[in-house]
Amino acid sequence: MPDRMLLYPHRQFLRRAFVAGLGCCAFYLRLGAESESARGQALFKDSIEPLLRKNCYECHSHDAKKIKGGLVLDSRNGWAEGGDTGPAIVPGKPEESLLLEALSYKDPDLQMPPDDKKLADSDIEKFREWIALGAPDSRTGARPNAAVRFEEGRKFWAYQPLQHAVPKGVSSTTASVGATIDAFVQEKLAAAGLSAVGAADRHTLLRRVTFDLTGLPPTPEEIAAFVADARPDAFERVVDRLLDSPAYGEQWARHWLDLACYADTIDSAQMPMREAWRYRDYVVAALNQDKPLDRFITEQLAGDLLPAANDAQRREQLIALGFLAIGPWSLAEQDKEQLRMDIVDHQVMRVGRVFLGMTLDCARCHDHKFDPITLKDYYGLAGIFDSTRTLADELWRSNLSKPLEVPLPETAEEKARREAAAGPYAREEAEAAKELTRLQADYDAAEKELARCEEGKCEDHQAALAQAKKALDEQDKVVRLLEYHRPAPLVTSAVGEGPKPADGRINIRGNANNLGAVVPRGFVAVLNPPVPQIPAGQSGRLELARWLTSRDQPLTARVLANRVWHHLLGAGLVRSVDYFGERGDRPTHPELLDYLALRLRDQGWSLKRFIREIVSSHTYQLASTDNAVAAQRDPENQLLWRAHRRRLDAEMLRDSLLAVSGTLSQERGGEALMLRVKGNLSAGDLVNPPTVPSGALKLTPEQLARRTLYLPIFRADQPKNTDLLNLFDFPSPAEVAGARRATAVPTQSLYLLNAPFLKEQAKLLAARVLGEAADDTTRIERLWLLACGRPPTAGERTAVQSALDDWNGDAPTEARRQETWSRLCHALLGSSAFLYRL
Amino acid sequence: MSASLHSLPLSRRAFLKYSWGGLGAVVLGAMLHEQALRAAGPLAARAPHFAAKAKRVVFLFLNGAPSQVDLWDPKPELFARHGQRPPGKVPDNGVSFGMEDMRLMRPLAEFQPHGQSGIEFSGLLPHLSQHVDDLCVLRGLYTDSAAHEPATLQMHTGSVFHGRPSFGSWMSYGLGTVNENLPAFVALGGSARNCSSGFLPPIHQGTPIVATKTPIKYLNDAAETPALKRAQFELTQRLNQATLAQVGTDPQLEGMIETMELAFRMQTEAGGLGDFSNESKATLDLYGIGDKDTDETGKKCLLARRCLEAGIRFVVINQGSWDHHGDIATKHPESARQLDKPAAGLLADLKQRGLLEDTLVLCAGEFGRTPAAQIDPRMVAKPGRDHNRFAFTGWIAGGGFKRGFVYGSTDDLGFTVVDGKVHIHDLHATLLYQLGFDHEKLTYRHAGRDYRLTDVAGKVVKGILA
Repeated sequence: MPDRMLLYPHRQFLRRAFVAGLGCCAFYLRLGAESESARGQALFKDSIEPLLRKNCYECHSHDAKKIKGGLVLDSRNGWAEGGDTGPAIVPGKPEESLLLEALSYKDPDLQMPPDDKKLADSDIEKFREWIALGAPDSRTGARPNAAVRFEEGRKFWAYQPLQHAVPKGVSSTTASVGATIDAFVQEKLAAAGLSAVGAADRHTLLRRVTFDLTGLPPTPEEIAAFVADARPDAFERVVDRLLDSPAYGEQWARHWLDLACYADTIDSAQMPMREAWRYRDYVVAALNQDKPLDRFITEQLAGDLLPAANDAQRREQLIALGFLAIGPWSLAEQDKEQLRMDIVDHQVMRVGRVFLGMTLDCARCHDHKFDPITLKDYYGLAGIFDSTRTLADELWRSNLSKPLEVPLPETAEEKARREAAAGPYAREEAEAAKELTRLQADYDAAEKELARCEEGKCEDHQAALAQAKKALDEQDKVVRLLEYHRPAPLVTSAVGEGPKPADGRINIRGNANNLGAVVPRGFVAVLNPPVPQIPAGQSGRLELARWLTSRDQPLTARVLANRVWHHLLGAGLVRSVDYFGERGDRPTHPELLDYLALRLRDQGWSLKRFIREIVSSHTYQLASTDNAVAAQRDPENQLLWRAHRRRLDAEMLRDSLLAVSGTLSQERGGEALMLRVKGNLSAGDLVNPPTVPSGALKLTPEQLARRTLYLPIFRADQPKNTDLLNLFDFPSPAEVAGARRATAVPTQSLYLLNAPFLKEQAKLLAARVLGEAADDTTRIERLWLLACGRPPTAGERTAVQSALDDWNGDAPTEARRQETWSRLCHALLGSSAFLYRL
Repeated sequence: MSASLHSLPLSRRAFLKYSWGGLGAVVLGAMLHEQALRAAGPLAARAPHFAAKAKRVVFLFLNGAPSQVDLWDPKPELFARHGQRPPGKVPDNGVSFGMEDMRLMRPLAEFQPHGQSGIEFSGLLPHLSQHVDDLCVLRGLYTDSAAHEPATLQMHTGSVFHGRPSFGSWMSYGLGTVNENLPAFVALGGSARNCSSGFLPPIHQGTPIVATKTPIKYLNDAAETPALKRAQFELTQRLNQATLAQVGTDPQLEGMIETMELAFRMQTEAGGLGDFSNESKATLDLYGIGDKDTDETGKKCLLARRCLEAGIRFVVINQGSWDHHGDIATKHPESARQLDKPAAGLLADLKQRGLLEDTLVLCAGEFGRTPAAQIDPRMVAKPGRDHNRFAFTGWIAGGGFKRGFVYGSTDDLGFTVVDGKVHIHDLHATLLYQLGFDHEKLTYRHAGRDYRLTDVAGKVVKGILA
């Protein structure tokens, strides 16, 4: 063994000795090693340390005002562990040491000391020699090493196993879930010396639960039935009715799509993602069927890798992959390697935030600054997605990448229909192509004519050429659009396995063209994951999905339970719903959170059941009225002493306007972009692919009467008809948005005051109310039930009656009355009585 | 006295005259006082980190990337080597088309020195050439992506990825507004993503405005008389008050009442912004308004000036469409004509009103174009130029920058920067510095991290500061 240990220095020494012109190797064998070490130490003391102190400590020591790049050079530990880009020095290997690379100024992006303060060549040579000599450095620093920091980080609350706690005075065997939730909340309130306000009245409660579960307001008939229902389980019956209605899946699908960065177009050029709607419909159907969430997640991450009992199931599982396939990809990015890694990064980001509440994407360039997430964790997951195909091999046009589409199994009927259409369509295309050839010939002829004409007498010829060009261009568009819409086998936007699934390599500073060490595919170390046994030739997505939904790690259940709580109660137990890390919020009720997470996980991951349990709690059913003492001590209502008051989300607002005016369509699902409507798709050309004009997109009145969920979502600006989404805090489809904002900005108020859509709905609502009730008193009553889910208060009644009298004047005409009622409805629809659920 | 008048000493008269239409000084005084009282909201005027050289910004964004070698980076060598292959290796801008042959193409017009400074601009810019002594020309700009979308995002938000706040949003967040009847940040054209507030509160997003009598969407309801609209508004507010009274206190519900109030006032005030009827013929001519080529940009530039006078902090103008992969010889001169006079008009107008001192005007595209010709398959006989992220030119006027000054240079042909490199992060850091901010300290916590406009990079380019 000793011989082997000497081998390396020996060889190195030989080389050096040879260069120096010294002979007699055997003699120097032992002596060489000793003197090298001594020389290295001397070099360090005399030159290296002073050079570091003089040139580097200002930014790279513990005394620096701000440590740059996470790198400190005032201890051996500092450079050995390195900064954001990894170890700065590899002892004995100058060529592999980033420090030397930076000092040498070879890479324009990595030059130290910065600002053209390059060291003298002789000094750089000293560094080279010292590193070659093994970089002896006797300084010990205060900086704890990474392993110690990681162990510290591991103790953070979010990474602990789920704890089954029972609130005081509650029997875990007999108490209902609702009662248990209430006991957890009560415990905290009592400890703070606070008490909750009373229960919400039936009107308020019904409006709240109907919006929360379906995104729509209750109808006057539903209100009357619930108010009159004296049975003890009246509320449970309402909840069952709501969970069984198709509107439930629509509402909760929208929550999911907020996490999935869903849109119907891709890139800023607005290229249609024409199959995206299939994924949206999959989510709606899965939720309505109450597909267990672990299955739901697995299908979306690895549906292609799951066995399928039949074509229908196979199809569903492929469509589910839209979760990974649909995203804000910059298809025009010309550095395709970078684009690929940017997509991988987004997928890692999405998985981290949606399921784990972790900002894994922060570890793309360096270990996470605040959470125990390492570069290795990041690239372990990145390897999985890098082994996955999201883009097609071919380009869309010139330099534009094309998102992957995979074939779906067709039903016999679909196949027959397609094949029947193929013949006539091919003939149509052939006709169009023939016409194109003819017009091309016309154009060529016109061009020749022009070339032959006498100078000064060419005007007519020029005009003829322009005419021919126009006709040719028009026909070119016809041909291209026919090609775009050619009947083809069914496809969907999905991901697939990459050509060569394998472990990935660290991208130094996130640069896909600057590769570091290979990292085995794996999960997040702080959660003690198993080493995935990935079958050869597979990406590991299935193993990832299995781990995310396994009992082995607590975060998926915690994060999802918290998301559901957030949507029902108006704020999460962890308020930063997408981030459970060091800099996020701590749970206000940690035991309750764990109780809920266990409940969700252990009752078959049934979302409907979980929702039913939460809304059955008294906590959910509280009033939202004030309590001076509680408001003073807990102004943010962290302890849940009342219900949160919430503004309607953009979709709720639009859908409710249609619902109360009586025009909401019952049509569900299907294509959003209506690409066959003339003008909705530009033909593209040799360089540009077909695009969808967001400003000019034509939506049919039938489509505009549908729930907002079914309208097209654009990655850049929403179409004119749905710009309400932009104004009322619809989140950017580029980000994972577990929580909607509810801002109050003047552009919203202007919309409420002046937008034609609002005015139109107000007019329809007025006509409805005028038709459905006979006198002002009952009309006002009816209006309030429709729009606010309750009868008006005495104050509201007075205010409205006096406005009506004012505007109507004496003996109003029918037209005047309609106008007056429209204005009244408009005023109400623009007010918080309609816009808030209390 | 409100913050508004302190920060706009020179334009107070203009402010009264142009933006308040028929409202008198008494009303103005009362409303400004009210604004001062309500100094707690997210848009309340705030002081920056240190004394600012610039108080307002106009960003004239040349959409689609103009060619630096045809406009403002003189390359005699490129005339000489027309038709030749570039000597040596040229930087790789990534996958593209029509660049296989790589023949150099001469600039579209001769360059001449102008003014005291002798800065050379191309003959395509006769009007802007007369202002070179007021400009700080940056010939060493470079950026991270050679694709429009990411590069445009980076120019506006610092990042090539979606979802980050734009420069104007950071400014609105950092400084608030001096006129609470108007937003702090407005955008004249361009995608909503370029003026997104990202994760900052949405009140900081750029409000799209257009040069018409209804400059803001849904500002008015033409079919309704003002009296009846007011009656509707008052009923809404009564109902809002009733809801509030029912629940006790609630900042959100209170906020809704306040913004409704503000929106109602905006109907009058913002309407005045787009009404040019009180501008003189001379002013309209100065901007080229009424001429086919220059009307659109001219109106945007004039509206920008009116916005600044009304107390808006940041105006971004999305100008032109410069992406000429083919037939650049016809199209670039057209684009230059559309820009030249209106931009020069804006500089002249700001200067004569004393606003240029503390207004920062930035003019640049998202990247540059190649000195070599590109063959567009749609028009093979008419070459264009491809994207070039390694070198482009922009200029800054006012805002405490050096005047009649050139910073940075490119190689003999204009492929890449050889001296005075300025990355977009550096540019942003420098602009923030002149606005009174340390770019490393203007931060916002999101998902546990303190984000900034310049991400983890950016150096203030002190060499271009006056």
